[in-house]
Amino acid sequence: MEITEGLFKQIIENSLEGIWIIDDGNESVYVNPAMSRMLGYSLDEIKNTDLSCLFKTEDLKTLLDKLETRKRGQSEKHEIRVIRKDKVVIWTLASCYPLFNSEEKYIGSVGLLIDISKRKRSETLLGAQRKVFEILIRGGNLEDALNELLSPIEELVDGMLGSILLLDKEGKKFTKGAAINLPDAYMEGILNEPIGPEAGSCGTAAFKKELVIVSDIENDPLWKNYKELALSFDLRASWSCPILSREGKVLGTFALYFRKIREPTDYELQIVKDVTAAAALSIEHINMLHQQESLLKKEKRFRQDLELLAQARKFLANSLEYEKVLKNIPELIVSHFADWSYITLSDENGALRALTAAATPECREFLRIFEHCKTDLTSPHGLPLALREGRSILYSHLTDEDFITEGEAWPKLGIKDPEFVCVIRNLGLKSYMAIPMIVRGEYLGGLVVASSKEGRHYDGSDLALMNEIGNSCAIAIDNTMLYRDAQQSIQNREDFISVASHELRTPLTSLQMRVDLLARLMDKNVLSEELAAKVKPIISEIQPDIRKFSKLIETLLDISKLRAKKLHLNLQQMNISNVVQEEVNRLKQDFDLHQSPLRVYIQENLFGMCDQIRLQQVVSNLLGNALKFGNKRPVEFEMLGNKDHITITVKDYGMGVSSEDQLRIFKPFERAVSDKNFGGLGLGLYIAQQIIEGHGGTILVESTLGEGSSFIVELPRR
Amino acid sequence: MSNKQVLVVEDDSNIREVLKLALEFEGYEVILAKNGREGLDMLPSSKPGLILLDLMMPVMNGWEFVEEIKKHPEYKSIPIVVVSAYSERAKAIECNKFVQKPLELDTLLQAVSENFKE
Repeated sequence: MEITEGLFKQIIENSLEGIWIIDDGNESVYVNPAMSRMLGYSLDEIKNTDLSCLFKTEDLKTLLDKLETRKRGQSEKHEIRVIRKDKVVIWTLASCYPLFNSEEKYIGSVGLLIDISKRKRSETLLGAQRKVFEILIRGGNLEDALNELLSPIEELVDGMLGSILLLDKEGKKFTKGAAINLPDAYMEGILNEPIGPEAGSCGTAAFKKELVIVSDIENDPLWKNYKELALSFDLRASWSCPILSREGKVLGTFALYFRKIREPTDYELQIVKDVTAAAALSIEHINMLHQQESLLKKEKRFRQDLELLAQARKFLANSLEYEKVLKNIPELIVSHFADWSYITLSDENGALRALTAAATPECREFLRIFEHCKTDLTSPHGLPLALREGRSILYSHLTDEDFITEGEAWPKLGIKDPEFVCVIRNLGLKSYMAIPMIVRGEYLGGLVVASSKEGRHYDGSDLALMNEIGNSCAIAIDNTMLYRDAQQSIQNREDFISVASHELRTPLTSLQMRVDLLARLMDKNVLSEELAAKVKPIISEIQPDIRKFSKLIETLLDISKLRAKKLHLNLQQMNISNVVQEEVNRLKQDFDLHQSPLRVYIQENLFGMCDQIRLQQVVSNLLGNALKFGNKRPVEFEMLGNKDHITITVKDYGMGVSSEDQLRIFKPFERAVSDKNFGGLGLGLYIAQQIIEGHGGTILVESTLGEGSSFIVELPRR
Repeated sequence: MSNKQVLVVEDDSNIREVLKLALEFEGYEVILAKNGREGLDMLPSSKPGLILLDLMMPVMNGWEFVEEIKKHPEYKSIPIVVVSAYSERAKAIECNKFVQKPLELDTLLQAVSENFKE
């Protein structure tokens, strides 16, 4: 194939790249069809158009410089904006070469141009978005970020003045906005105007949630209320697009203003769409950041609050001396979020007395006057009010006026003392909470928490937190008082037992002896036979009753000694076999009397340390129980020894003791069975256990309900 | 004057009275003292064959009384029966018999008759 000039021309005419040739006088001499389409000018038209109409003024100088260097043979490639016939500016990538004739004289240059507007638009938008996000991530404000978005866009669309307006939370009016080249006075004029169906381009776009194109402000009904404002700044056209969140909520508007009547091109509409989307992302992003931040703040505060509460509860649970423990609470609260705090407690007359206080170093003056602070319960404010109404009271924002106490007016502190009020006033009380400490409808005292000059305004969640602490304090006080009451009751009971048993014993002893004497007299036949027959049975019934009575009193005496830790054992080396045998023999009579069989095996001559009387008391108690609860079945008594221990086992075949009762029966005043069937105080096993343990031994029970029990005593031989 | 004299040293008047009644019924002559000091003061003018002694008493208690008695060669051999609830400490006293309160009259009278020294 021969490459002819016609073929070249064919290639040039069909090229998709724009080809533009100018001569050495910078006059256009040729544009191919692609170039002609790009510029909107025909070849003839372009020949008659000066370069200054085709390029932006700011680019023209660079262009002419470049043409000069081209004359010296330089070719180059650069991005340059070109103004189309319809005045739309497009971005092109131009590859330019100088043209020389055969004498190497410069005769002009050729430019190969590609429309890169779309790419440029994307690049610009992407760059702008990146900048916006950088600003937002660094914690910059939304207005600055949106300005960053606007400024490159203004370069993309020739002659445009952009604005991004933001709607308030309620979505009723624009409160903030970004604008670079729009006059500030104009922005001020439109901010805070309500949106509506005829509220200029932006107000209408936000209201209708749709793109609003006003190409001629002066004659458009949408602008009837605002055209004077717009025209005074020479704004003639305004297109506005609503910025929507993902959920479709209107966040604001993106608007383009022009100083001449103007319709958007498809290219510009695309820009509007893209910018709106980018703005939506930015706004949502910053909203999210704000949300996240406030969540984090909330979480941090929540954590701190929990920590405070946990610490307070730890303090309160630490001891039963609440007066001491409560001293930690104001200190803890001050370290958390207060400038001063105090606790008052109600005394037996219901008056409040100051217990403890804490303050920051700046407020230490408070600690000086705190001691004299007298809460007047008749005050309609503060702690008195809180106590009366049984609820915590919050004074979120206090001013100096709240302290003025002329006439009968009360300062909001609930305290009238002029010195107190004066000091608090000087410290600059800002906010305070009064928390009553109430248990079962009775107030125990109150907690007051305050912030001064630099402190914070307390809110509902602060109050809830202090309420919790107040409740914890109240419960701690209550627990302590209940505990003390219980201790006192126990002490009273023990004192009573001790006094009563001592007081009862002396007359009982003489009573018993007199009855014994009477019985003796009867035996000596001092009365007539007839009279003796009547009196004898009476006396013989009195005697066992008195014995039972004195045994009970002895038991009570033992108990009070045990409780007062005054039961001393007189341990001596002895033949324990004999000691036990003696007591068993004594009790054998009782068994015979009740016709209960008693089988005894006692290993002889087991020596060891013991308190004879006390050990006999244990044997008596165990055999007495076996007789009482053994259902008249045989009772087995066994005493065996090895080199270390002596073991005494008392086994009956009676009612037995259930497993849950087995733990209980060794406690004072406990008994496995009801009081109705069996008398006694339920102290015997407790005393027995104390005596055996005093010997360094153990006592335990093995039993099956309904089959009987074995009480096993193990004594060390020492 | 009977030759079967018993000195009762006991601070509780009720018990003192009943002991007197019971012992007299058994044929003893009974002299009464409210405390150890009174008891000691009575000894020169009397000649008891046995002393019934309580321990917890005002002025002079049982332990102090025994201590004093044991110093006198003429009194130290008089048998002493101690009557007390305080079993632990009573054991430490030098006496012929210890009778635990609450008193059983039979036990007491038996202790008296067994230890009485003519």
